[in-house]
Amino acid sequence: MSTLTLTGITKRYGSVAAVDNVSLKVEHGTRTAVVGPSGSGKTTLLRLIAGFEPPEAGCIAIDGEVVADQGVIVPAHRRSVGVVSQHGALFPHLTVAGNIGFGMGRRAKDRDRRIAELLDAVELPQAMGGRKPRDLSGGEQQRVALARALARRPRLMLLDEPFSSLDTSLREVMRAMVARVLDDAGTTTVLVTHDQAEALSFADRVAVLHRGQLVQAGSPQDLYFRPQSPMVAAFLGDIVALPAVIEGDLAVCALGSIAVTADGRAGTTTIFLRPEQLRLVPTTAVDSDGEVIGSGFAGPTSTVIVSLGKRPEPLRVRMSSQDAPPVGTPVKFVVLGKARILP
Amino acid sequence: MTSFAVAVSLLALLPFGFIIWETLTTGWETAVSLIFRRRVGELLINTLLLEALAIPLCCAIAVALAWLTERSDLPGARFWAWLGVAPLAVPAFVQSYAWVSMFPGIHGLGGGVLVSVVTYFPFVYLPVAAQLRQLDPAIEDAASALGLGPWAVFFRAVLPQLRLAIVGGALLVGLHLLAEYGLFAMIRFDTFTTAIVDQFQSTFNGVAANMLADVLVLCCLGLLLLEGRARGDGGYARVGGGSARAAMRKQLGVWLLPALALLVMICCLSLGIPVITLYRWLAAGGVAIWDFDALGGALGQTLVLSLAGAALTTLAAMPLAWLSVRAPGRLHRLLEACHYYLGALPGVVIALALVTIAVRVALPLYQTAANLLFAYVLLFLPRALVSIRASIAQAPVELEWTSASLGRSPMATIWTVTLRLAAPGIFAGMALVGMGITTELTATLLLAPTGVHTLATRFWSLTSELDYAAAAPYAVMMVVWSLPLTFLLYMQSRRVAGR
Ligand SMILES: Nc1ncnc2c1ncn2[C@@H]1O[C@H](COP(=O)(O)OP(=O)(O)O)[C@@H](O)[C@H]1O
Ligand SMILES: [Mg+2]
Repeated sequence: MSTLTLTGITKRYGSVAAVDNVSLKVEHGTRTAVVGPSGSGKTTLLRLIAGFEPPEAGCIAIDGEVVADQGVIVPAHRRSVGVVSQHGALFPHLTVAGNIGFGMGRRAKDRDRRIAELLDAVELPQAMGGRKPRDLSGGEQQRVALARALARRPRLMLLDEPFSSLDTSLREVMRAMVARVLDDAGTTTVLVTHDQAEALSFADRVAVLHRGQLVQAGSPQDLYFRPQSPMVAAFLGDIVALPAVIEGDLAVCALGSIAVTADGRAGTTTIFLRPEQLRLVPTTAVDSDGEVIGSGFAGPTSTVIVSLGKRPEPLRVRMSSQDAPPVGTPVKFVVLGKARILP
Repeated sequence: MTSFAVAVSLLALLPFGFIIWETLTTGWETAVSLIFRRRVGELLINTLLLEALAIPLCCAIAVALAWLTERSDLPGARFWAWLGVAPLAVPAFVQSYAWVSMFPGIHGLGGGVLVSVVTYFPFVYLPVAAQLRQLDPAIEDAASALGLGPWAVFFRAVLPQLRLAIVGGALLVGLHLLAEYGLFAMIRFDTFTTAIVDQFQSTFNGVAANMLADVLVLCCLGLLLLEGRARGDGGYARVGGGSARAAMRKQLGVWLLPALALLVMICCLSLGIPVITLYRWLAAGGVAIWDFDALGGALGQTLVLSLAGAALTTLAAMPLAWLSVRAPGRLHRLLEACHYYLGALPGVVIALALVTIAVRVALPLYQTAANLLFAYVLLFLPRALVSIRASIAQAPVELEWTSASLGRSPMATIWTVTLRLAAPGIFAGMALVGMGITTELTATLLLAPTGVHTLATRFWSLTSELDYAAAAPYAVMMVVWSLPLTFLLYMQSRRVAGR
């Protein structure tokens, strides 16, 4: 059974539709990522699900119980939905233990034991229970916020860009930790983020939001390799787009004839490749596709800029700095896998 | 909650509605004959001259003082900053009592301007000093780099940025000048407020007093409009990110001595004279003036009234403040604006309205503590609103949501999260109101039931009998009471700036 069902949810602020007719199902025990550029309505969607605001139209059901529909609005405190927001929103007047225990009821028998368990689960030392939030680092605050939201064993956990205020190295660690904790607890989760890599690596299912509309939802692989719009294709990763003429299973383009998933299409169109499908091989001037005209060094990888003879704008390919050919080298492309037609 | 806020606002509109009602029912002829007469003309000229002289002087002194304490290498700047605020601890009528004691000949416009300036300049000093601390020194650097000399930098780059603070402070001074009774009565300078109180006390001539109140309210309105004009189109945002670096202090060099002389003179006038006078009266009066029964009684009654008034005012302000922070709709903006204007109503107008309403409509309320407390609530509501609003804004709404998602009901959330976080600010606001009530004179004089004597009214009746020595202990107690208030105001302005 689905834990969360959204049907035609709409929310407007003035003339702006922050969330526009969104329908989505989240299966029990899964992790769904809602991803979209800043301002696309992700936070608004979460706020509607959590019950902080009512939708203008549409229906929200959690575990089969309708929590928002025309006339029916279950207030946030009766929804049993956990929320972790970008900055943690810890209560500054309570200790860490007080924060974690906030939702438990003051006299719950196993309160202290639960708090200790949760501190363990989010890998915080027990001694931290007595500290105030202002003495904690950003990562520690997020761990406390997660423990606090888990304490009530919510039916559904909503995470609003919980990692975006952390530095890059910490982000990986936190993401793995959160995924493990949520799996252990078997909590159905919706994560909202503008970081496509985060969405693709964290979730079982990804939904792309654009200007308040849900443009595509599916497995991470599905979205990455089979986007149904240029926006999704470009948002989920870098693309190399090339004009091409489709002839059967081949596309004739600036890189020569390459394999393509044509799905029955033919004629002139635009195909795309992910940059990691391209390999650069130094070659002789005669059978080269183009020439290296520049290179951007970024430590382990470099972005190599290749000018193609016939094409006005050059191609950019990221590759290992070890293999990056110097400027002026004539090069040839080897294409791995198949190109796809840009919808 | 909304209905409670609306009810409070309607009650707060009562005196204003009363004034309009009175004016409409008085009849054109009577109104004209009562308003367009020589006496009103004289009062109007007095008032205008007082405002026109005292406000600019206050501003000039305050800006000079603020610059010296915040931006120059003046030795002991912190100490001088304190002295710039300390005059607030001396109630206006105590200040004027001190001056009359020392210079018995003081009277009229000159005296009025002199005493008002030394009493009220801190109202401008506080916001200007706070603003100066906040200014981004990069703007001054840019001005110097564009070839402006130090004076030109001050007048063309610094002063314009202080405009909002100066105008805001000046409005406060102007409204106090209009509303003050004790200060001007003591040195025999007639303003609308003194005339209304005299009229009321001598003949209980409701209509004449009410017509004077009309003109007084119009003056306040004029001041508010003027302020709106002078304020310009709002603030000056800091350009660019990052926090402002602390400003360099300018070296005074040869100006040090004149600067110190100015400061010493201001301090002597605003603090020296009250301190010396009080000391002299206490020394001259000896033990005889410490009538502990009367003192204790007045202190007790003052305490009860202040606590009750502060609690009631805070309670009345709370829903409105909460709504205006959390649900800033059109209705709430209207209510807020309404309280902003009501905040300008002088105490004497509110008192007059409540007395007349009690006499005519609700006689059992006449001369009761309830009526007096109601007046206090109306008088101090706008101020309480400002400080409670600010403290509720300190508790981010995100925390309320989080609390709801953790299963707390809305009421429990407000109680355990919002109010818990806003509590320090709310208590500060309550203390401000309470201490304001302690030294309130005008409304208390008109409304206090027989047998109720506060420190201020006791002091006032003693000075009216020219028993200045016996009044001194009351003055001392009011000053001591007001010191924490002053400290609070000082700390608040620091905190706002240190944000
Ligand atoms: N309380 C609000 N009032 C008015 N507009 C809002 C409000 N909250 C969000 N919006 C608007 O709705 C759109 C989506 O916002 P949001 O959900 O915060 O986006 P995201 O979280 O994806 O960055 C934005 O255009 C934003 O300006
Ligand atoms: Mg957001």
